[in-house]
Amino acid sequence: MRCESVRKKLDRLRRQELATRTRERMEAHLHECAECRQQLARQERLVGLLKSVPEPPAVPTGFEHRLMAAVRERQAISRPVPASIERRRWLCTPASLGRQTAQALVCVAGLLIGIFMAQQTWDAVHPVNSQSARQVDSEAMKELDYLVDVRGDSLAESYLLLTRSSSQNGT
Amino acid sequence: MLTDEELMLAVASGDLAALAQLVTRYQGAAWNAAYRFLGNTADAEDVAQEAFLRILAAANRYRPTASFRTYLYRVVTHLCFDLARRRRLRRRDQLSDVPDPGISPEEASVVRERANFVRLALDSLPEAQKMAVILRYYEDLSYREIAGALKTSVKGVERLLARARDHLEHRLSELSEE
Repeated sequence: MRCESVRKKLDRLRRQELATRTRERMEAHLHECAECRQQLARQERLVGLLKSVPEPPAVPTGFEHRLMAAVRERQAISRPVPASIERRRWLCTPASLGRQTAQALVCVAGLLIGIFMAQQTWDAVHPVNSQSARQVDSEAMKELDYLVDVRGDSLAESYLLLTRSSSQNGT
Repeated sequence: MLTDEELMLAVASGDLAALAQLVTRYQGAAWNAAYRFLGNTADAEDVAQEAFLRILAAANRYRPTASFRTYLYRVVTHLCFDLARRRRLRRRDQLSDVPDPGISPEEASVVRERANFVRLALDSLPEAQKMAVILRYYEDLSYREIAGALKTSVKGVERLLARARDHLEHRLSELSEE
């Protein structure tokens, strides 16, 4: 057996984890090889030093209790919706569909009646304002008709005609 | 008494009592490995707790190709590496000042100083080497189990431990010669 392959397995030899045949061959090699024996002794010293570090403190009190509480909490969050509820949620029988349509129609009718009544109320409260607004609008339309009826090639000419007629009316 | 693998099958079917049994059996293992790696109780408790929660979440996918213990160490290792990368500056707890009744205060001081020196040397190892050392020399896992926990081969573990031992021997040469 070569030194290199023996040194790779020294750690397992120490812990008696090797097959009997391999162990016997290694022990025979160690009997002959002083360098490999020194290597084994160095490993044993190193392991002794590693073991000199104190044991970790005990598992904190209540660890198991806190853990199981966290388990229940996570299960509650991620618990799927029961199949019966899921089925009910998406169940659309013809009877329930008709009931839902009737409810929607009642809502729309109520909304339309509300808008109509609001319009009636507005007109009853502001009758004058509505009429004067309509008059202003018709006068404005006349002015616009005058502009539209003017014959000319450009907007500038139309403007001149308009100002001239306005000044004549003023005089 | 049910085996670990039988308990895991029960956990997969939603049996929390089976999980509680696994926690009772292995909380010490998860805690010790996490504490040795991270060096403080707060992080070690977070990791140990999260390891069992992850195992529960993945219980449906668990296949008993390796022992439950190896599987647990794999989860703990993954969480330790992840946490260590995110919290590089978290300091270690101080070693206990509780005196050993069998030794004098001077001797206790020497022992504590030596232990700190060893811990510093361990902390200077790359994370995979450090965990390999912890699993081998503190948790007493076989090479095959360590390979399972670190997702590598037995040859890979041989190499990791050989490099770690070389590094530690060099760092601790002063102590070795005492």
